[in-house]
Amino acid sequence: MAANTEYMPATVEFTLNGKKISAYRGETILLAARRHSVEIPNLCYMDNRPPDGNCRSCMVEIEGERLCSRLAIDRRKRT
Amino acid sequence: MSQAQQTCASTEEAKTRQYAAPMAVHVWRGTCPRNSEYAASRKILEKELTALKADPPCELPPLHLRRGAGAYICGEESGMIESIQGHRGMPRLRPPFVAINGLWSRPTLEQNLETLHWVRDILEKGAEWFAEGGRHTRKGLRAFSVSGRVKKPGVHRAPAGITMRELIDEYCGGMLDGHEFYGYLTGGASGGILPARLANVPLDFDTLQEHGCFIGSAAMIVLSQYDTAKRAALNAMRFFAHESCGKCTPCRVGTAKAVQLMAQPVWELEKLNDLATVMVDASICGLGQAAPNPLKSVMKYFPEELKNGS
Repeated sequence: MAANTEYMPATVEFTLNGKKISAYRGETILLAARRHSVEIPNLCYMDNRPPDGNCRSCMVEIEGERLCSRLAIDRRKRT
Repeated sequence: MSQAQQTCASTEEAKTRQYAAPMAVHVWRGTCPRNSEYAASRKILEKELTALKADPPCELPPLHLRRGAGAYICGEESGMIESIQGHRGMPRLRPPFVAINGLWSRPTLEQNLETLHWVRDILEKGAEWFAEGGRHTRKGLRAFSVSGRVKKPGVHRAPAGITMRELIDEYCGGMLDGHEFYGYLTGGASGGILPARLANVPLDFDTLQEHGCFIGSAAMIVLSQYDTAKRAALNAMRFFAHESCGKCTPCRVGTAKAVQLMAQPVWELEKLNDLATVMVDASICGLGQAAPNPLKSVMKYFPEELKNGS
């Protein structure tokens, strides 16, 4: 029996270091990567707190642009 | 630097008088209470706004003149918005961009006063009049603020794309007696430093990029043989360490660390390069991203200053 898609959380797919992974809508790249066993170094992030984005240690490069505290909202490549 | 500051103060009034008339949107003027740098501007703006409201040429939009809490960082667009809202002047993370979510969470357009200043002239005299003003294939006019070792420092209205050599000779009355042109800081403290041999580069947006510099506010500081680029860069870095808002680590720690390294008689180039890379790549706003520019310029264009360890 097919799953009832109405109750499934929406996901976004993106490429991280050449690997396709999926994130829930509203999830940061940091957490999505963590669920896929990719540890991005971080300091100022704390679970259940909104991202502050001031230590800058979790910087990732997204198609040449360098970002931190970024929600996984679009389908561009992450390296 | 004291000469530069005096120059600013004396020309501020004339500059503001030009700027006062054409404002058409919500206006906020940065003021610096610490040294009351812009107190004169504020008086002029208040006078002109009262005159404008007494005899409006058309139905006026609401105009607010806001006194800033005074910090270099409040020139950064989201930092300025935070300051206007009564918060500490610190840049916001993007996205969302201020054009979508800015002042009081509304879409916001920030304009430089110089841009607004030209709008009226362009509307009255036509776009061609403005475009004819350029030189060396560049178009338009710009207000260059020149300070340092020149005879006539101050704000000079000159063609966009003019070279530093032409600016000094034609607008600044040449170098001070006994001083030889050695180099210049482009675009205020963060634009970078170019040597005398690059005095023939047109000064405009995008023309200095290939040399690792930018024009920024078009504030040029002229150095002579009695100055060193190294000292100018250290002075700039001290300024950034002082003005860093402290929000993000690369800028807060980076500027302070850079000052320590640059104050040494011999620069540790590898460490400084590392630091510059981190600051450029990871700082939230333009302050930290551009702060290493003078430092990088010294390493690129003035390597002889780094050899003798003075």
